[in-house]
Amino acid sequence: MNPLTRPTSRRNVLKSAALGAAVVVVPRHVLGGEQLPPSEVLTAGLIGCGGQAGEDLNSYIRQPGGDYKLLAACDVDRHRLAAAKKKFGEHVELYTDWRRVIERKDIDVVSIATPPHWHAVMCIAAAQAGKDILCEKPMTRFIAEGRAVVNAVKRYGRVFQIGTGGRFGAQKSNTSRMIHKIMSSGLLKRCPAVFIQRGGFPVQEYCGRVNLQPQHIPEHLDWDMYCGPSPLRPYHSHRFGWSHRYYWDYEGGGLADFAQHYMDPFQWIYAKDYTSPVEVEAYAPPQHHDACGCWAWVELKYADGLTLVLEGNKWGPRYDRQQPRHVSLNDLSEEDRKKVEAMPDPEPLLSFVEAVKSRRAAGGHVEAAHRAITIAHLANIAIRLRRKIRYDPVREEIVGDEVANRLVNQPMRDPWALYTL
Amino acid sequence: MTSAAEITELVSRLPDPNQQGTYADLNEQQVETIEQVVDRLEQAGAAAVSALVAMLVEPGKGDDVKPRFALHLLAVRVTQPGREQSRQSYTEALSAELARDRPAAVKEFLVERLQLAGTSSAAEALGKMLLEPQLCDTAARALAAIGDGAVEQLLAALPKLTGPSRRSVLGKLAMLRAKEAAPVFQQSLDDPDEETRVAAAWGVARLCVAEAADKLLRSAESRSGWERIQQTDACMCLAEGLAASGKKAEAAAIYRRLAETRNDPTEAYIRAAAISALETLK
Repeated sequence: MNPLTRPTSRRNVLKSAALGAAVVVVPRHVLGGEQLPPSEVLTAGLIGCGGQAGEDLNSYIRQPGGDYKLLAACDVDRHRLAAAKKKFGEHVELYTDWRRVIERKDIDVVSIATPPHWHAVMCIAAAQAGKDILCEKPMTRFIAEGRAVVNAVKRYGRVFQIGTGGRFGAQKSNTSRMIHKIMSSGLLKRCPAVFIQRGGFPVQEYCGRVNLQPQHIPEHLDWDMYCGPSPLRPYHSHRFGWSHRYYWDYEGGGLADFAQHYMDPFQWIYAKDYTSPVEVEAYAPPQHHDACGCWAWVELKYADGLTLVLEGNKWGPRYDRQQPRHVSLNDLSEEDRKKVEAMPDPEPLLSFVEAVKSRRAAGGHVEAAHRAITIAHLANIAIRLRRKIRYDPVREEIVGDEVANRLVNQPMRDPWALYTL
Repeated sequence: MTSAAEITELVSRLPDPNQQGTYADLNEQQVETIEQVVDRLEQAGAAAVSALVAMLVEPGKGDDVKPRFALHLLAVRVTQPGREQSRQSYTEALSAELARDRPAAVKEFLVERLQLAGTSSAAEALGKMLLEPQLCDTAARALAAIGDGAVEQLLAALPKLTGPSRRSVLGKLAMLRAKEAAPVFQQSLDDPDEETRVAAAWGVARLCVAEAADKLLRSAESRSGWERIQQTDACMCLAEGLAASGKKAEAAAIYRRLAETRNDPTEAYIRAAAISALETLK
């Protein structure tokens, strides 16, 4: 039977006020390719039903004018699953093993809203299974994960959008567009800019507890699956839910949690989506092995001279080595200034929906997202190891520091692994 | 020589966590105290490590926040440039402690410190931990992180392991691209355990074993669901690896086979990816 003419059942009808009519939801693969079905309703699976559940689907599909039908929801916590059923409707199939969502052939888009220690493994699997991907920030827990995700997404031509959209706003600013043009023109041989992200990071608030004592695992929670690729620790409620952010096993404190937001527009403005800093130096107290701690500031330098500073603004001294400074046309010779002024504006960034339709990269594409969170990972490595590090942005390795590289690529708990090349 | 009592006293100088149980309120003086304590512990060498390990307890059986913190601070300290001798001493002391009769949860903590700071001289002690089911995966991760000397230990343990331990070691050998494990990877494509077969497929892919391509392709074709997705990706990666090493004909054969066999609309993206990759080989 032609799937486009099969009888419409209650189950596959979405009453969409936005569309104003009942539409048949047809997964893309049924059409034998990558085109959107006539209804333009994407079928979606949601992995992680905590606070962000469904937010990315709404922000990156509905708000830009698309639509989706949620077919599956997954969580390791059965209480959250029950809440998801109430929130999203009876038609949604529930799972506690996310692999069962990935292997469903009728799902076009997977929205990943778990804690970050799962993001890379799930993104890779989603790409391997031919799904387009919405991934909550931060994209990864360590640097090698990001490269593996990039490879998998590229291998299968998937569309990826990170769960932050600062660059979409930045591209509307005349100043930002001009800096973007100057930086991407290649005419500025030495970049004098100093970009300081002053504050905006939770610091003390995101410090983990160093004295957790084991608690009884709630019966509604699959703790082993929650820990997943990270070490299997004794259960404590503080490791679960919102406060997972305060532990190295799952995220990386306020720096990792917020850097993706701030670095997303920064990278677009300064045309750094395909590279990373080469020197990283931090001011921070000694760090605990398990719980994230305080930090004062991190200075990161790019090969072209651009300085990026992340300042916690809550603990320790202020960063006082340099003052903030943008680049402008005045940094160029008269001849080069004319060349930049003659450059067309950068192409508008594509929303996730537009990217899925056109099979082009979304604005918050996978390489940009990986490079943005790499900044946070490098900062955290310098903080944790208490030393200046030098980074090779091509090889994506820390130079001359074998121990630091152990934090760049961390072996995962069996059976999870970054096997991809 | 520093006595255990002196180490205990030194460790007690480390700051207490605040009321919330965090170190969010460390002030400059406390940071200075931490540095002084770590200086002294580093000077005390192996004696300090042994004394600190003796203070560790299983989670839930007492307060060992400070000795754990101290052991980690030492791990970070000894990895600073120019401290190779301290690092070697730390590695050897922790390795020796692993041989003692201690709870698995305590040994796990030691293994994780070695994962960060250990040198290759920890490999043998970690190799022995592979044989303890509760510690096998943790030790395998530490060995994979250390790299030097890891393959020998993982290979030596493999025949003695079964179930999840064997799978874990196989996976770490794949991660390390251990050439010596090529025959095991190929054999394990027929393992009764699904995840072991997936790890083996990845071993074949990461080692670029051209001779195993046909077996891997047939294995992937015979599977369904999650495993088919994983093994198919291993085929794609094997082809990528072969192409990158100049074996374009072998890579092309894999891509062609994937393009020919992935006819179902639900696998159109694989066919498309294989055809696209084939084009780049021309």
